[in-house]
Amino acid sequence: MTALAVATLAHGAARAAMPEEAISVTFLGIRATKETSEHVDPALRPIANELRRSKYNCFRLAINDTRSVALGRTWELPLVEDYAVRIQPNKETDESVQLVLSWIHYEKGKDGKRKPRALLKVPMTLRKGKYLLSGGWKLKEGGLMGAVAVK
Amino acid sequence: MTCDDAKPMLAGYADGELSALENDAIAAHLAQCGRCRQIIRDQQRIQHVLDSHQPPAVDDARWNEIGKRLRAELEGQGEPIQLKTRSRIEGLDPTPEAQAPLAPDEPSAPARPAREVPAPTARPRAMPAARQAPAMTVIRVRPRRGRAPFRWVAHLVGAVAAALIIGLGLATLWTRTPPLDAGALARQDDVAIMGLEMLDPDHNLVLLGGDAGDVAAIWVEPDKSSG
Repeated sequence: MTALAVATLAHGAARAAMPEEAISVTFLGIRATKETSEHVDPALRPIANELRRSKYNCFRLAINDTRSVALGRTWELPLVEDYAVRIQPNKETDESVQLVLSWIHYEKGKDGKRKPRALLKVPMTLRKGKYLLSGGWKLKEGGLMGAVAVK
Repeated sequence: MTCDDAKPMLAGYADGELSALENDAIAAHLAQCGRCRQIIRDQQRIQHVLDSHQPPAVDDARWNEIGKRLRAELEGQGEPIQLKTRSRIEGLDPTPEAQAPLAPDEPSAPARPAREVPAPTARPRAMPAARQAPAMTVIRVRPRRGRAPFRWVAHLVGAVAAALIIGLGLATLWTRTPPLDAGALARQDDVAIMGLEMLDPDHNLVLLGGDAGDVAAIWVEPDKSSG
């Protein structure tokens, strides 16, 4: 009985000492505009046909970032013109990751302080290595899109 | 004793003008202070140059000429005498004052009878020492160079650092290139949207994802009715 208790305690201590399980999250920020002639960033050409399904014809890669995010933690990535995304991976299986993607826009409140305003919140299960396109948020010129992927 | 204490007495030490007690104190300080030793060495070198410098010899013919011209000037004839016997110490550039001809300090004396002027030949012959060529000590002042042998090390370190920075930058760009390909986008069976919370009243939500495993995307479009 004592041996079992000791083993349980040791197992618990070992688990506590292990680093938190982390997910590699990649986010591509895309600035889309409508211009007289088409332009697609070379890095985005493989998905150009899908991007063209939006109302824009020019796509430039504005942000490309990859972070290791622990399960349950939130990674906030500032984008352009006070937009940001929050990505929170919550659960991992062999093939996919359960996560919540949130689009945020920072605006000045009545007190003059910068406050985040949630625009869209999407809980999803995403297959590892696949990008989910989202966005279309209005910018001064064009729109803002993003593609998120997990590994 | 500190350098500040010693410096006012260094010149006296070099000239041997200090008391025995001061002399011992300075000697003790010099034993442990290279900077003050260097000052003393510099002073001694300058002193040596000054001591070894002797005025150039002037031969009898020159003295005779000077005497003639002096007499002529005193009698109101001829041009003022200009002595041009200052020698030059090599290595020390002459100042403008030194380059100017030496003129007698006092204005020309009033004319006197010629007989009162001693004949130049009456001047005793120059001492043998004066006839010798003046001793010259060349002071060569070399600019202090840094640790020249180690300059190439600095260049090498700089080149390696630059190469590292460029390499790291390229590596970052390389690794950050998105692994996008035509099949990288999530299709309908790659993503399960478990809920959508559209919190922005100014945009409308457009879900893309048709039949036959089409690409899934979540687009928003500005709501035209909201202005």
